[in-house]
Amino acid sequence: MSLVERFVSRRCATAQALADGTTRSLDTLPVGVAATIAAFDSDDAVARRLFDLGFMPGEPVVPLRRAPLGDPLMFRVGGIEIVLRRAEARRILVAA
Amino acid sequence: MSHAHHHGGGAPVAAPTGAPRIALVGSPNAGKTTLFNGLTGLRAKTGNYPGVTVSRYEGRVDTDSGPIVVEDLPGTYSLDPISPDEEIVAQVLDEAAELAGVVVVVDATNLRRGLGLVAQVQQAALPTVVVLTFVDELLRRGGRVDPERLGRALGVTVLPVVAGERRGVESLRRVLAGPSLWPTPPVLPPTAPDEVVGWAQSVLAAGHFAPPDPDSRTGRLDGVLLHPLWGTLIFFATMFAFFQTIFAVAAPLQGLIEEAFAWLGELARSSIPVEWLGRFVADAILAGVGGVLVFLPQIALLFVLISLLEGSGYLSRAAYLMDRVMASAGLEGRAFVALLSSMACAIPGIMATRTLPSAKDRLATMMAAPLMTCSARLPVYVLLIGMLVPSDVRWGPVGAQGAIMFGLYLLGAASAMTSAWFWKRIVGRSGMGLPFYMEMPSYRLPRLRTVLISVWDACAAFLRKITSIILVTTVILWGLLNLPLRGDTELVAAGVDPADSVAVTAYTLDHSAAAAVGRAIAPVFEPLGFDWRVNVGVISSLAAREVFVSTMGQVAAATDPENPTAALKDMTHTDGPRAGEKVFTPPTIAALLIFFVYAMQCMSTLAVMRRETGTWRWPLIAFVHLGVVAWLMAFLAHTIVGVLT
Repeated sequence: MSLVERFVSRRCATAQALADGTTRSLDTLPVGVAATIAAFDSDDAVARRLFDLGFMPGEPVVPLRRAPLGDPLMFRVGGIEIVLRRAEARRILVAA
Repeated sequence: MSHAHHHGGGAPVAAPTGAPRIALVGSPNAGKTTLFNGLTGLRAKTGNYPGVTVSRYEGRVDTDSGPIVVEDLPGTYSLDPISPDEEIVAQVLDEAAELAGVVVVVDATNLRRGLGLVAQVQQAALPTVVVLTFVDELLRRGGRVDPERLGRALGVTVLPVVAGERRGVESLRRVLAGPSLWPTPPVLPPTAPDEVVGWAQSVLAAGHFAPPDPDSRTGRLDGVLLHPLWGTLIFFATMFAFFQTIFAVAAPLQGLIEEAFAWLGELARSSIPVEWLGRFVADAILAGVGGVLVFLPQIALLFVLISLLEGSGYLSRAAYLMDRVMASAGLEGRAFVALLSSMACAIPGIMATRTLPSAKDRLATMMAAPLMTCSARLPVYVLLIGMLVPSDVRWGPVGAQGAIMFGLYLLGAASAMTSAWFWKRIVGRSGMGLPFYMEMPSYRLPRLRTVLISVWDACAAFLRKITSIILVTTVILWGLLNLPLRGDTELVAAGVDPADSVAVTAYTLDHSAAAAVGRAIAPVFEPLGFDWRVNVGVISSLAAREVFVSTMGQVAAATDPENPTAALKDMTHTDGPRAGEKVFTPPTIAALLIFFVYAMQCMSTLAVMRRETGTWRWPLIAFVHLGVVAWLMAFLAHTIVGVLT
């Protein structure tokens, strides 16, 4: 079994289980307001990559700024600053 | 973004066969390439992975127990791949039998995420060492880490290495000597998301890790540089300064090169006793090479500026600011960097598309890149615009020549975006969309060494192009334009005085092999107003666009070696329906300019496209469709300008 197959098979249906209580998607979080990552809206390659980038459930995340034309958005998570488009930010649920 | 200028151009070192192989793995921006350069001292060997278009870098490192081979794998955030670059990393680690060990390079300021990659790499069950980079930055920003304790928690050796300091690299070199001695963890770490979170938490606690405070300097700079209003203004000012520098600063240097070659040409003409040989050296070799070599200062400057922007962290910000604009063509911010590089030359631009995770984006950007105004078009534009309008004509506050030049750059950029949009629609109908994400590095002072390496790489590649394809084409062209040499009897029979060298050259040119080719394709370009000599120039520009200028130079010099510029201006159609009329009328010049905006006249670009896509299909499609578009747009320009003048 190759390494890749190993990951894809071993990765469970993400942290959906953690999503209890009320959540909102990350793209709706106002600039400067911190929140805790709760889960992803579904489990696929994109969600797994967002996880690998540092969007881990339980981590605090804060939107830093919007680009001049409204998209993409810049976030601080796990000590780095990273840019996502709204479409990807929508996939991440944070505890409201 | 660092792929376009990766590593030095040091002499290739044959990797000793049988030497142990060690792979470097790490996320982009973790300092992997700096570490690789420090270890191998630029004795890197580049190649390609079989079957794919990802460059492979390996270098030799001498250790106490003999040489080992270190392979620098493409930067990746995860072994769960979503781009061709990333697939390679997983593949190489899968072929574990070939590897003696793996070095994972982890940015200490972002240790939590780095541990996720360490956990994935450890699944390969290979001897592993973790190198912690940017520990100095972690401490500066109020964080801390204890590498030794961290190593114990991970069950592997953890080595802190600070870029630019020899100490860390030396201790890594000592460790590399014996991969079989590296400690291995008794139990493999987890990779499932929920488990990784807990595992990383406990490892970080055991390693006495405290995360860094946000970089306040970067925060303050971003507050201005990414401000909706000021940030946008600064971006445009930066782009303006970028091109001003490339054109204004390079100009005096270009003048010097031009003069030097003109002087050498005169020297060759006057000192070589055999008349035709003198002309060959002066017109073919020196004029051909010199005409292209004048762009060396510009290319060097462009790469200085791009690597300064990249090294400081601003290029990522530019990609962030431009992402929404690029999205209108279906692309992402990083494609902007590829298109920006294409303004020097489409080749580094096409190579920069490797940073795009989406294969469709790569293809669309590759098809767009040749439309950006590369520096090879510049001499052609300068020559043609100079004939179209005198330098003292002004439209309001701006000079007409500069305005036309700017318009051509704009047309190129707009056409590139349109082309990207078109190809994205053609190739992008099926399959899942890839996520867009881009890490913003902290602002850092660019490293002189990195800047010099990238400039040297670019200049070396350009010089190779000049001494190979351009030199060969110029020589062949000279042969086609000047051979066969005519005997006196034939000249006299044709009514030409053999003592009148200008008349002899003109006669030879008119009856040369090139003339036959130029006349044969005349019907194709006749509607655009080109005569057979222009056709020869257009065909010769297939080797490299700049060759058009040296070809027209050779043709004009044959007519009037004293004043080739005037000769070109007054050139008339020798035959056909327009015989006697001037060749370079405004409609024809406009058609030529527009033709050069669109036509895919660059064999090197086609070859790189072939290499990057792995098939001749895309370069062929690019060549044909851009050729057709070029003809149609040129015809349109010829007609419109013809009506206006």
